[in-house]
Amino acid sequence: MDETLEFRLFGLGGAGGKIADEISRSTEGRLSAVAIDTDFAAVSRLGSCQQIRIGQEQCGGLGAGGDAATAALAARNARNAIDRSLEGVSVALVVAGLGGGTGAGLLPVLLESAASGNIPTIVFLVKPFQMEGVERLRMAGSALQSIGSMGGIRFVFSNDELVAGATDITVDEAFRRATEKLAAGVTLLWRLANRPGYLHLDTGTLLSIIRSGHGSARLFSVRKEGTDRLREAWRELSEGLASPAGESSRPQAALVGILGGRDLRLHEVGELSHSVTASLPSDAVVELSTALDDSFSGALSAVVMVFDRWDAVERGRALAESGSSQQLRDSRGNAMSGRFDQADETPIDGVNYDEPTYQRLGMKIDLS
Amino acid sequence: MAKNEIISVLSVGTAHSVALVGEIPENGAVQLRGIGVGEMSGMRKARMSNPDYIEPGVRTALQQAKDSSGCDIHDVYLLVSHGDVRSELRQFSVDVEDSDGFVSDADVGKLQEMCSRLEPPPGRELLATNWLYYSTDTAPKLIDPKVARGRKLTLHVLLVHAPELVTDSLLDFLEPRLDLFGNNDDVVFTGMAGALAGLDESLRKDGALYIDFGAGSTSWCGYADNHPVCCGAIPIGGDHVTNDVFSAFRPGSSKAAERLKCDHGRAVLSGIDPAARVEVAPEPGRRSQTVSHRALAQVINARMDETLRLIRARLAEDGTLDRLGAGIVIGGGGALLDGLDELVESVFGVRCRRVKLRTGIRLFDEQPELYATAWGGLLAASKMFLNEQEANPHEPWWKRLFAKLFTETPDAPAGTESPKTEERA
Repeated sequence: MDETLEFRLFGLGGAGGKIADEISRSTEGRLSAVAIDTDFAAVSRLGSCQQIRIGQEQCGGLGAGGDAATAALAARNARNAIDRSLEGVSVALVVAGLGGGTGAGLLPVLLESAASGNIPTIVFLVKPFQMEGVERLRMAGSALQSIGSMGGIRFVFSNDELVAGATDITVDEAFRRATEKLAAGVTLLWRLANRPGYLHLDTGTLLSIIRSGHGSARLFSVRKEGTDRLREAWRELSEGLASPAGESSRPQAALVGILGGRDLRLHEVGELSHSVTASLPSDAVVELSTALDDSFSGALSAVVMVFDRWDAVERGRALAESGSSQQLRDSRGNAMSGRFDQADETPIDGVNYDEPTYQRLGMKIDLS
Repeated sequence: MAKNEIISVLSVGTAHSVALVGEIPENGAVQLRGIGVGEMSGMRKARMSNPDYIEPGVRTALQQAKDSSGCDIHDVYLLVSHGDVRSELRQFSVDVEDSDGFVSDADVGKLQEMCSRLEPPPGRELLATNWLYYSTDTAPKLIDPKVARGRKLTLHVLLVHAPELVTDSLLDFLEPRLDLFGNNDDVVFTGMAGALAGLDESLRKDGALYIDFGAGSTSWCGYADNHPVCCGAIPIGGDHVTNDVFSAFRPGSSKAAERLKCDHGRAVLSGIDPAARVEVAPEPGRRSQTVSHRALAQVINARMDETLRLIRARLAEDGTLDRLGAGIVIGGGGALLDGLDELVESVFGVRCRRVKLRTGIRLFDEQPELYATAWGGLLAASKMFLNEQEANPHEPWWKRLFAKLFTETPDAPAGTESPKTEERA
């Protein structure tokens, strides 16, 4: 594929906006970012993001007051602006905090807008600190439930995880560390697409990987310097990969991204990717890609995305050239119903007419 | 009736919501006073699939209608469709009491009683009961039975039913959010509305069918002898065509598939160069793409042919197919598909044309396929309103719903007078 992928980072609500602003600044503005918020004062302070203010009527510019439903209504009324912000986007990277109202309320609307434009999304969600109290944690849980299976790939972190191991640090430092960890994952695919190293995946393959992953996924990132950087990087990664996946099922695929400067060694790439592959089930699909960026010189950085759901059909279709009237089938072997997949079937006399007619009738059509 | 009554019609479709405000002058035909159109989301196959997304589109339509008419909208007639509407003609008969055969109020009252106990088929709900005409053993068709004589008096009705009262869930949803009021009596089925606008007097008399091709469903209404003889709907619409195109050609997004269908789609294979290719509108991150024009037509033809044959089979099942020989008129957004009239003619074996309107409203007359149903809904609603206004409050309810709606020639379209309404470009 010759065309470049247009990534855009969307920061939803107060927390999401701040993170997006910080990440965009760290890429010197090369990764375009949009902050969407109901708190007009907060969003105005984000200098590295395009700003979309919503909910003037519902919130008066003062924020959603912790009410996701109000934020959702504001978002639906601003649907046109949200649609416009997605124009020209190949992949939407979305960051949102779940403890307040705006991020949680906005998220389903943005995902719906992206879905209608067939724009794949990778979502990074942050749950509140435990110390923020039961109510905010409950809101975060509710928000996750309301999203359901919307959107593409989804990573969920808690603030406690992001600053784990840091016992006595300032609030600013805590935010910086948390953002750094998030930034590694948020920017991985953008870096792999825009700063490809000698081992790289072309944009078509990257896009198909993004489309193939579904639902909850896990993200592990490391950055180590010094002569022992390879061993230290692997030690930290292996601890993460070995930790219980919670509700996640068996990993089906992984994307390993290794980022370095001109001092990145071939054996470092080989050993790290081999170790990650060996730690996953033998039938898991593992894709490797590297990015060369001078800002990573002197360090070995790696980001591993582990997918517990992987659409082999989509991935296979992207790998094979389309040249014949092939029937796309889901994992149950049923012909796929496309945009009606999420709607109740409406059979007429026992026939599911949502399935494309030409497929159902077994018509041979030259689709080349 | 007070001068210049205002009525409102709201149509909540899969792709669009349309709100119309009409003004009924004393002794005149309804005039359009305001219109609003909102792009819809959250509906699939004419049903609420994601209620949270329905409100903005409906709100936009209502607000535009309010702004253009200068009227507040609270009470609405609802123009509805559903994916599974069926109809059946039924007859109820009583023996005339009078020994000389003069029909009396008591005879008519007995028919009333029988009709009030009408039950739809099991597992279905009544959407509408259309009272068509009376007959006796000596008079085949009567409007006013009290002038008739005979041994037996029969009332002919058309029942329209669906699996559920679609209006209930829609009204429950819309009323509190939009400060609206409607009820299950103030409902017009889209197929009937389209027929009212799209079939002229001669077609209604000779026997013709109107088909409305919507995004979520396809509905129809057939007329013969100046009254409706059938109506129905199936949950297959323009969205299915788009989905088939998307599934076949994977153009990058469903929007791209929709554009491909609208720009280059054709319902028949005739007139297509087998070697021709058409371009898919470019999408970010995807290589430019062309597809075989013939292949595109094959995919669309398969779907549309199948849909039309389903309708034909239903009409045959109803026993009304043979009464609709005067032709077919098609409307709705899906009727814009190139070659669809040819395909209809080949499936049904009768002449087909696209709907034409002469309302005097430029928007409607220039895009009749998109607005015929809404306009027909306003015509129907105005008649329902007039019936309610003119009814004697002591008369039974069934007289207020009597088939004045269908057995009289509808009022002349508003094209003969200067429209008092604002047109929306």
